[in-house]
Amino acid sequence: MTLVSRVFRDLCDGSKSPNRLPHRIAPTQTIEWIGRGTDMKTSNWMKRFAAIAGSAVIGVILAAGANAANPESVVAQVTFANPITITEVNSLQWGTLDVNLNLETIIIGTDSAVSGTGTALVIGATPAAANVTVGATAAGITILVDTIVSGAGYSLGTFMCDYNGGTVTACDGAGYAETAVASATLLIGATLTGDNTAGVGAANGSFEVTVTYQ
Amino acid sequence: MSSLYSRQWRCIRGRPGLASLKAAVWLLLAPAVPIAQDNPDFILPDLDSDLLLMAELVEATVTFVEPAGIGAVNDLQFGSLDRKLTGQESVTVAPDSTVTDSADRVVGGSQAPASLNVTATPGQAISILVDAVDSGVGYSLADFRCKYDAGSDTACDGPGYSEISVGSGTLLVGVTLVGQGNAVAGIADGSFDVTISYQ
Repeated sequence: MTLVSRVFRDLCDGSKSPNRLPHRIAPTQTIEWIGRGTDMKTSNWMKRFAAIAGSAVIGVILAAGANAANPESVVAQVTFANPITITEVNSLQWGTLDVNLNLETIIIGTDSAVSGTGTALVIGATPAAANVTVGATAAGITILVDTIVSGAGYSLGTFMCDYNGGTVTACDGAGYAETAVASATLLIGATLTGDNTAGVGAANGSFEVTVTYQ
Repeated sequence: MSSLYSRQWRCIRGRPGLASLKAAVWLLLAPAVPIAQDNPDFILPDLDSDLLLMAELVEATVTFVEPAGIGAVNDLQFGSLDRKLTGQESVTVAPDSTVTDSADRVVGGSQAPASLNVTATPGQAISILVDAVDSGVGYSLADFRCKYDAGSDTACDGPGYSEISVGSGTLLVGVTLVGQGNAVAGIADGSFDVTISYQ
């Protein structure tokens, strides 16, 4: 401010030659502040001063206006989507298992591959991952498996999903996010763990698949 | 002062004789005497009382205020709605974030009222108004409700409503979306203006 006031005083003093203006400024204040050497021409100095002052004024105006919008236009965000449809193509199939399952595990992958400690206990029919068709509008979706009901003699857990040929991902618990396509296949695998109480006969379990827009 | 003089002159013109003479003398002396009703040194000459007219003080009322400013914190959000929303169905997002879905048409996303930061000089009467409503395809927006600072939930479209300003307050805006039966899948954002004015 001192420098500016001095400059204005000098500019307004008609008895002083404008060409000597830089030399009237105290050496400790001058020219480095402006960004030039002491041999700067006055005309250039004045142009630069005007540019700095102009920029400052514009900056003040912009800063004052940044938070002063009135009226303010507000967006109402609305997205319409087709209702999500889920159609079961086939259930999660374990086939026929040895009743002497004990505490062994049998894992069916999303690709229907069988693994785990009890693979030898699969003694009939062909295990297969669950297959459902999901119809949706292209948008972010969440895929979730919950409401798991295990049958007598075992428990179901560690559900894995493959939506539209994507990455195989855990889908129980909190579920996981995907980007929907109009129609896609969702494959679901899981792990069956015996509890040493299985009896002969059907022992079906169940679970729910929920797909929601994010 | 000039107004007082002119009034006295009008009185003198209406009084012939001695009274007019007294008044003229008073006028000649008056400039040397401070003229102020509350000045103890000010002594009125012995004039007829009906020569004097009392000056009436008129107040010029001026109030300086900071321009009211509005900054959007977040948009009004309906999230994802079933495109089969018919004309009989609606979704309401209230200023307190309560969602009323008449036909279970909310299928995803987040629902939230618009949140704006309003800056104004505290203690002033202000009007809050929502207008320039632009609904997207497949629905209409109606029945805007606003809640300013610690105030109550109030209708704010139409003529708007009045509040007392605080320095920096939050304005929450909710609205009802009514289907028209012709929505198509995809983004269908609408918009509206919020205006704050001093009364």
